[in-house]
Amino acid sequence: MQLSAKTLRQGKWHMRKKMIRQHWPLYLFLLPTVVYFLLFRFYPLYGLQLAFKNYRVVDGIAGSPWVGLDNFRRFFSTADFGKLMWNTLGVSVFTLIFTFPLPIILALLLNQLPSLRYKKLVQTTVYAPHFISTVVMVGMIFLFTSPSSGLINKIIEGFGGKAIHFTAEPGWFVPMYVISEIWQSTGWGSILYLAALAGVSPELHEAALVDGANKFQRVWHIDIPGILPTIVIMMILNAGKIMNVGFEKAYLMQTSLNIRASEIIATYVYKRGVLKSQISFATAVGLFESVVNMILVLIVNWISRSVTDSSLF
Amino acid sequence: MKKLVSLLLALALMMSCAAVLAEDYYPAEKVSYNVWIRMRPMNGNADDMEIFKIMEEKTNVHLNFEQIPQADWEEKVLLTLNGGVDLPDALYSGYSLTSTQLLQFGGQGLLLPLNDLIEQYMPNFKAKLEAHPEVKAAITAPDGNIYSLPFCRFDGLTGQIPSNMFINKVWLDKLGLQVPTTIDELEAVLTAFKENDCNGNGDPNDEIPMTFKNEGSQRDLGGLFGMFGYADNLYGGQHHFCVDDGKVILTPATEGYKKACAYLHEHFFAKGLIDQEGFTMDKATYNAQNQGEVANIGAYFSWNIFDLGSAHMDEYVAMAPLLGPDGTTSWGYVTSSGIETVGLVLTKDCKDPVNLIKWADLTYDDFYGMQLEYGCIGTNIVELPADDPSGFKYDYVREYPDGMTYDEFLFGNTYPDSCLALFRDFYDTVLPMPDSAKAKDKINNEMYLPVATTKYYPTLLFSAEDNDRINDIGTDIISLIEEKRAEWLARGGVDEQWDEYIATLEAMGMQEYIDIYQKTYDTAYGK
Repeated sequence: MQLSAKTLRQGKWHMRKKMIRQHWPLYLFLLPTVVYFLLFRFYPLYGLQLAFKNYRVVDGIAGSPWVGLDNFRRFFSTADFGKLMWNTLGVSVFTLIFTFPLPIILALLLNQLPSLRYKKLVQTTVYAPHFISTVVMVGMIFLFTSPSSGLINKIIEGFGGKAIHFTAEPGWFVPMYVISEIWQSTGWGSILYLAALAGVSPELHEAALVDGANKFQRVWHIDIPGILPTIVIMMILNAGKIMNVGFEKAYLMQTSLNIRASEIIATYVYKRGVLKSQISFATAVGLFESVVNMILVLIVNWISRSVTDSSLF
Repeated sequence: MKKLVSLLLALALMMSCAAVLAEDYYPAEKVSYNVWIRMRPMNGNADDMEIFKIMEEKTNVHLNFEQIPQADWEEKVLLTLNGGVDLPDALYSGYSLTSTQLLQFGGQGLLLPLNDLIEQYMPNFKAKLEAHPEVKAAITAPDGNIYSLPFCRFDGLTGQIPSNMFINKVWLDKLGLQVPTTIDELEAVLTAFKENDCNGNGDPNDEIPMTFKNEGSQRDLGGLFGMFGYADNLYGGQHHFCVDDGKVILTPATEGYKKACAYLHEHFFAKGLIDQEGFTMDKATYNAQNQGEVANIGAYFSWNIFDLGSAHMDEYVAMAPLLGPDGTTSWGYVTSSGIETVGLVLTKDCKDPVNLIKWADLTYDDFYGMQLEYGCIGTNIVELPADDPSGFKYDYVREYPDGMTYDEFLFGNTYPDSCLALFRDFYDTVLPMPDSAKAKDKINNEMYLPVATTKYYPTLLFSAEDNDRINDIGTDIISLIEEKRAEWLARGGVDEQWDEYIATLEAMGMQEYIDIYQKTYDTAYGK
């Protein structure tokens, strides 16, 4: 007997309903996340139309007049466009290059520690900085690097060097940003990889020991391949944030002397959108940033699918 | 005859008072308004302030304050106004919006035009406007609307000279030096400050010869530019503009500015005589610099001598503007000083503004305005006997509770940032100027005003379209100017980069930008 397409569809729907009924607690667990995304991730997309409009508060989002691509044209033709792109990419690429591999290395090292107590102590110590708020963090940077009273310059002078005004040099902005980022995020980032390492089967290690593999070989041939899917997923997710440099930190670290290096897209959007109330223009700049991010995610995802077989989608 | 006139006058006055104070003038039942109030770190709790209780008693108007810290104010206000929903009835405080923002939001219909309300319900304020047409000019938008009630204080502190220089006299005496009068002498003095252990703590390296803060006009070194042409200013909406004989000039595009950057870098910044940290310090750090056991600062720029803290205040004296390398000088002054356009604005969500406006009118009655600005009678000020030889009606309480400075004592008890208007005649007859203002006034009159020839662009309101244009092209222009100014002073390079800089400014629309300022100036003051 041949089943009609309609019956098949009904059957599928029926199955699905049955599944939902059977596993309803799981769907209930899912609900808050769905609501969160609808509310805070999808609903705001409605405001994106502002990028193509000239926003006037009294007319509201829907009522403001359309201006096509004017806002984008203005952004691409500002004198700052090249500098903004360059700074944003510079900060994010360097941050990614340095902060991405370090948590992995740290996790692999911690995983090799025989003493559980010592391991826990180190772990707690290295992820403690994560809990320092950005404002405090930047305050610390300014205190430590002050040319007249900062600890770092006292050390430099102690060795006979000349004090450096770190917060005034455009050239020091990216290094300071990256180094403080490493200090703050490495320990926290390693937690994920430690969890992944815990999932690597001990039998593999036992077998390797029997075969006479040394520690390095076991890390290289067992641990790393074991957590590779996690690394790849994290890589793709991070690629999506490339243009998305932490706004607060860059903004707080800006001084009138390093602004040439520290003005990035996010701080520019804040200044234009919030402080100068050019909402439409800032929305256009923000949208441009998101589009670049999206393209980067797609590219990295495509590369990883063809090279390692694991990918997000 | 004279008697008759005064009698008639008195009669007229009584009648007008009677009209104002009719029994049912203020609401019979208590009316409440939601008001956002901007709080300085020094301010006490607004809900506890005596003056607001006195005013509530009189007007039956209760202000439901949302107290927003100064640091969060701008972001919160702008986000809310741009959202256009859930607005409070009013924003209350001097400096609560810049004049650009006032026009932007007023023009969009977010703020209530107050013209009719002033006409009908603000007898005190109306009288002040009639007596001082310059105030009316400063708060009237080009479309004829008035969107804000101003905060005017002609006490000399908010005076014509935004910034003075102060120098450590104790150090000078110790080194046997005089207060410098020329730029060369200043260089020599600062070099001596740098090389010697002036504060006598055994460390010859902890002396900062001269400091400043690259923000606003009060602590900035822009006045030094006057030795080479025009003084430069970082002040609010007038950023870097001055007016010379009716012609509006963007200082940072002039030859003198170029010379100043080159000279100040070579002779001061490169030698470490003016502290480079002035470009990166926040205000807390700036203020903390001189609070140690001994003084660390040789000279500084400020609006007032006590700004750098009271710890070593006695060691400093004012220094007059210096003669430049070719023997000339100029310092900047403001004509619209003492008038802050925005003291109170009502938003479109204020459905029944009449009673709030009646309340606000009370702030323009000097009896209440005085207590808002200087504290309540009995707490911060005292009433003098009628025949007091000073001729004043009130005077300040000069004994503060333990460990408090004058400002702490004042800001803790009252709200000196209110909309109000105290003019010179008030300070001449009712309450003397505060002591600090008197000192500042003297310094200005004797040392600064005689050489203050750079007239900074006055506070003016622009038309809506001009305002949009300024906001649009001005943002890029000003950020380039200030980036380069800091760079050239601190690191040099002005001569090599100048031509490219001017070309970039021109490409950004500098001429149009200047033209807008010129046009608005011409409209306000006539060609």
